[in-house]
Amino acid sequence: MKAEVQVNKKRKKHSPGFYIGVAVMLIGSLIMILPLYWMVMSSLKSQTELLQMPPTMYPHELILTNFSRVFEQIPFLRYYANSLGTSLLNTVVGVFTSAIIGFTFAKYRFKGRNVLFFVILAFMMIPYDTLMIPLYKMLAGVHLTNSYFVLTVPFFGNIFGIFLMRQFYLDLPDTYLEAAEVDGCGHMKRFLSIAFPMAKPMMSALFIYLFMSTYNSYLWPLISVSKRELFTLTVGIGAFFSDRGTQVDLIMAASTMMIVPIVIIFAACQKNFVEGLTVGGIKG
Amino acid sequence: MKPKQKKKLGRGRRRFLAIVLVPTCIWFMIFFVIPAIAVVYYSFTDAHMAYADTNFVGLRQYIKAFTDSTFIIALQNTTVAALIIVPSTIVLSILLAAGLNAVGNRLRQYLTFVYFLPSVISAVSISLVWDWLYNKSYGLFNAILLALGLKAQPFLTSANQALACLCIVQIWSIFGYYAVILLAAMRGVDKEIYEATEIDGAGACARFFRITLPLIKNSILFVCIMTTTVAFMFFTPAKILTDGTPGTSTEVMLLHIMKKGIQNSDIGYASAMSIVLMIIILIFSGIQWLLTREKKEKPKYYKEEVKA
Repeated sequence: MKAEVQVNKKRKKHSPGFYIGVAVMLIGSLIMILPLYWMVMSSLKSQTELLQMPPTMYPHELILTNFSRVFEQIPFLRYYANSLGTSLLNTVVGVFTSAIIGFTFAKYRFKGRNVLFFVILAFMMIPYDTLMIPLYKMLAGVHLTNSYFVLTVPFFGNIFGIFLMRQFYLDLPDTYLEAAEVDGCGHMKRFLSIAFPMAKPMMSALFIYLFMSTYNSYLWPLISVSKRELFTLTVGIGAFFSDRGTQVDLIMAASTMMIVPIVIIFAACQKNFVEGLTVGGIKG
Repeated sequence: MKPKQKKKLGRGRRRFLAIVLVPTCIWFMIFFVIPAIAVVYYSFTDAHMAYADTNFVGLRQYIKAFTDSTFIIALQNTTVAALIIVPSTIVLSILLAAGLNAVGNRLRQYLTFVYFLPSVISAVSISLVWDWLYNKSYGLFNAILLALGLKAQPFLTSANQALACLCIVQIWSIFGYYAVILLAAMRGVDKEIYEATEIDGAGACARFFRITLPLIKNSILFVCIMTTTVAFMFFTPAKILTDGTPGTSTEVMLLHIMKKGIQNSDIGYASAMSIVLMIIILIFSGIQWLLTREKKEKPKYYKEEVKA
């Protein structure tokens, strides 16, 4: 019997179906990379080389000025700073609020806790995009659109993050916290010095999820901000494209500059990224 | 000593709860509860950005939506897009997950990196490069078609092809992500079950369809709900690549809602359409949820059959 299983396993490893599958996946992986390869290559080509038919697979004449010309034509650095700054702030605040709110729901009993948590969870069902129009009107009514307020405060909390952190703290044994109680630790201190650091692995996943979803968010900044100096990268490059769509070299250069840092970080910490983004279950 | 300490903790407890819950409730009211109530309220009014007064108009906005030919077209386009995106994404992600599950660690790491890559890239960048690839005169796709001796295609400039082209962009950018989710589920399946079937002599295919798939049913359901939502919320590629053109062939619901609500400032009308979109998504999620709930017993049955 055992020998038969061994033979079976060996045959499985060498079966032609397996190799066909691997070949298909490898060819598929080229198709996945192709658009990104093309983006980077196009950003290094001259305008004349771009409009050549058939196209060149790689730039025959390397043009690096495309990148600097992007900075001359649009306030690219400003967009970059806006995107990075708001994403970082939103993520740091979002991770902290998720942890403390999740902790409170997991470890404290108070009147209306279950009802409140149920109501918060129910909103996870509703696609947020459908609430943007009334939110926009509301915030415009109090003159808060076109400010850093709309790019940050709505992202200071995250329902999914609260849910995730609550799950984490539900699984955390109370004994750790009871020890602190004996020490006469205050509630806030107990959270900050014991519960918060314990959630590090979960928070790093949440950090990546929140950062990527704000960094790549497009619809909300598109409708809530119309001042150029407040544009994020996504909105800024989108506007650049609708203004000067024919300048493919510059569009591709701007696009390359937007994604390359992220791709490099992703390559360096692939495991964390995959964990962080799949934990959210939503792609922004 | 002890009662005093307890009392102090009790007061501290109330203060801690207040510090956490009061801002949470305020934030939640402003950004969730009030917009949700407002979207329902506005949908029954003629609310407009330019006018201060808002009048109750009953169902007029909803009637307007279903008699507005562009909205009907947007509804159709979105449905067609969902019918293309949802099944292909699910099939591709299941196949890819099965493939990733079968290969060795090194290869899996490389393949996961590549197929997951679009998930870390903004949809705006993705749309921009696909626009260039689809370019009628200078795009790579037409260059390949010409090199193969085929006719160049109009792609995004053709009313017949544009929507399908957008769906391809969307599928390309999401299926690797869902494959990774399904892969995690597949790797969670108990190895004993597979070993038992190997002794039974079940082929790889039979094993996949009769054991793996039923066992990861819940994850597949999750992917179904997610992709349906993504498909009905189709926006960024449509906005960047075509903005609804040519004609109204790629006008999708969210695009139409944003055009009416933001560009035309017609809040009431956009709210009514948002409600319609929201209901559609809730119905689909509900149906998919009910469908797999009924068959919840099946995996157990298979498990037992295999073990017996």
